[in-house]
Amino acid sequence: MVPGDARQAALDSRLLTNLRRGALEYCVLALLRNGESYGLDIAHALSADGVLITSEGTLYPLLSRLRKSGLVATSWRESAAGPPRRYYKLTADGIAALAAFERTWEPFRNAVDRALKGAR
Amino acid sequence: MNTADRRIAEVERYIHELAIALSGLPADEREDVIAGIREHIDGSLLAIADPTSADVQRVLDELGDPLAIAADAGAPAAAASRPPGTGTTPPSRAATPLSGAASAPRQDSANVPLLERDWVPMAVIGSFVLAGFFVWLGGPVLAFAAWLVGLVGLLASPLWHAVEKLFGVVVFVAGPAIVGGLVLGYVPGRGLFRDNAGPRVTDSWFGGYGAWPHLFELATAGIVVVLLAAVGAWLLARGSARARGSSRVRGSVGG
Repeated sequence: MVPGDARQAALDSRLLTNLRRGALEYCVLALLRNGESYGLDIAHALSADGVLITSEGTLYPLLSRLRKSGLVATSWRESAAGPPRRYYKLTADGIAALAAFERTWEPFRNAVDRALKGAR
Repeated sequence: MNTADRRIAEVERYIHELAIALSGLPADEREDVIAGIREHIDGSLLAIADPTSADVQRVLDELGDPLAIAADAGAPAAAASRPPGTGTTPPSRAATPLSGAASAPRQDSANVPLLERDWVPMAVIGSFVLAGFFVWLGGPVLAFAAWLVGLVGLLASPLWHAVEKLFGVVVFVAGPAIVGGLVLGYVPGRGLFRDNAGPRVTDSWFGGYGAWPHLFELATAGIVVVLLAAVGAWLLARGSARARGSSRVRGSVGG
């Protein structure tokens, strides 16, 4: 890799970090929309494409915050193999927060897309 | 060390590093994050038939650097405060109410009441230390002024609980009085610098005049000074922890 590529990669990664900041927790809420899930499963779903999270560990402070602010609730569940797992599911507040984000996100995304295309 | 032990040691080292990196967080939050990470590691390794050291390393690599996780969790420097009750975030880095509490830079000190800011404990305890210095330098008026500032700060700031305030006041009033009394000779017959106070030989528990004529007084004064320092350090620690906590709580209440 030539130095220019490395600089560009670092810049991209910083940009991604900033962009994730507002959206990632809603992606977690969205993953829970169809039912409860546990940490490892959520982490794998988010890290699959390497865009939403790069370090799976960063999911856990996020889950902790979501729980603290009452958007998700947790319960312990026995697992087929190994120790019990903590399952996360959406609360009514979580559902409302997700709906609010979706209402805002689409016009926002479209506006950004329009601005980027118009600037060409 | 066999392979299983080495795997466990690697995991424990990672958890240990994470715990240190997260030490700025409140204990419940820290334990929450660590429990989640531990479950993640256990679950990942259970899915592998016979995990090798390399497997463990891969799982830990995927989790990421403990410092990066801690930075994301807002520990320790990123404890931010936001306008209480607004539910919005500062326009800078934090983009959402949820992540804002932890990831916004510490900038909204204007929202933390004056007597709850993080420099208050240092200033209060510093005043007491300063008072001691002024006594030593021979400036009783300045010493009294600094002592009074410390005392008022300790009583006025909500960073200390009532019991801590009471304890602090008792110690910081009685302590200097005892030391002062012993050293300056206001305790009748026991003053270090008074040689005219009648039969002294029987006064001191340690034998009165000798190689160490004032051993009792010196020892007592020394113990009291050590006690003052210990109580000062304790109040500083409690106050500082609460000052950090208060800005963090404010941050999350707003969200």
